Amino acid sequence: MIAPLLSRARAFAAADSGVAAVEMAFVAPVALILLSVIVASGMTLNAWRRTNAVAHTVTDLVSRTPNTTQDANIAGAEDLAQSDLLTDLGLSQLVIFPSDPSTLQITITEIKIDNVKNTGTVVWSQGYNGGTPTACATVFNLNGNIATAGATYMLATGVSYSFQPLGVVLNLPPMTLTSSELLTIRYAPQIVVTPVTDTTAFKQC
Amino acid sequence: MWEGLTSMRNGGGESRVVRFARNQSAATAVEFAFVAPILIATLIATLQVAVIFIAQSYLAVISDATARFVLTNQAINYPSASFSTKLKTQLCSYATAMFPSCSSNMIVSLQPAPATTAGIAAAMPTFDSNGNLKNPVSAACIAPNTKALLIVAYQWPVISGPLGAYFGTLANGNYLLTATEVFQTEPPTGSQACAS
Repeated sequence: MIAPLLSRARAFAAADSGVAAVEMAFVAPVALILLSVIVASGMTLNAWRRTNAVAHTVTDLVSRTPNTTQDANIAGAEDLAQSDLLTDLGLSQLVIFPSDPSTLQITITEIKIDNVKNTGTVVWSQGYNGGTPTACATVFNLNGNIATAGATYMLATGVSYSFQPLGVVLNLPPMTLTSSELLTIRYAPQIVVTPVTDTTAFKQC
Repeated sequence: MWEGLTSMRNGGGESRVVRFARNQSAATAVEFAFVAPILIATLIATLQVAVIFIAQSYLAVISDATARFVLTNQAINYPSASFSTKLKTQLCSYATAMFPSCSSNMIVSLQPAPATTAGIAAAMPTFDSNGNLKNPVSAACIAPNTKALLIVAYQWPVISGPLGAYFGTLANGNYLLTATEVFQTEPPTGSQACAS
């Protein structure tokens, strides 16, 4: 009963027809996985570049708030209407284009620099599109060179972007791309957001 | 004729067709002819994807450079009548080897950035099926201290591989690459303003 099976198995192993097809069966999954990984990593790199661009763009826009409205209470500080701040953050949707902007979350925080401790403490923080404002107790550890450069207030931005790369044969898990930016304020020492009302998306410390 | 093919005998006593079917020579080559389209399609697709991503990242670099050019108020002296053309020439000067058809295939739009949330939604670039920018289409001078939106798009030509492995997204078979930049121009030096 076993002998005919064995001889058939030997004949199958010895047969050299269909070799190219069998080889292709080995090569094809590797080639397709390679294609899939190239597509996914290319898309991820693109999305990550845009995430970085968002962090830089929104921080740069807010830091360039024109020094036209002086704050009534804090000498030298300039006022920024919260609606204008939200428009600056909203412009991120144009920067992330053509990627889907719905999962792009931003938190922009003004920090007061402590030149001795090389730290920054939260002055105000605005979240955008579900971004959580930074808690008042948060301490930013800064590079000593930044702290001694002379800035008294700075803008710190964190961006997170949930992203699902396109799977051709292989589905890669969704990933969260993050980026941060730290810039000095351009035209006044400090920016004050008006009106000052704490919400889930805004914290004044 | 068919009878001739099947019934014609040779020394071995087999018809030509049977002989052809039994013949083992070049079997590997024949088998490869079956699998080659799949292999070549995968190879071409991989290559094209890689090239598209290189082009996309290069387009981002040149749009960055152009945004920097406008941000530093260097485009402010372009006469309004030829602003679009001159800005495109400037952008194409950064794009030497990668975008050979820059003057014909590149789309450049520059306008003040929207100032409201509703304006942002309206300013989202939309393209028709041929890759032409539907809105906004113009490129105009940006005054100092003004927020601006720069949109750059290029129709990247792709070649068709076997088995429908094809990346063209536009009606004319090209792949649309886009880059957007938002920035605020520097304050004026003296009485710097847009040329008329």
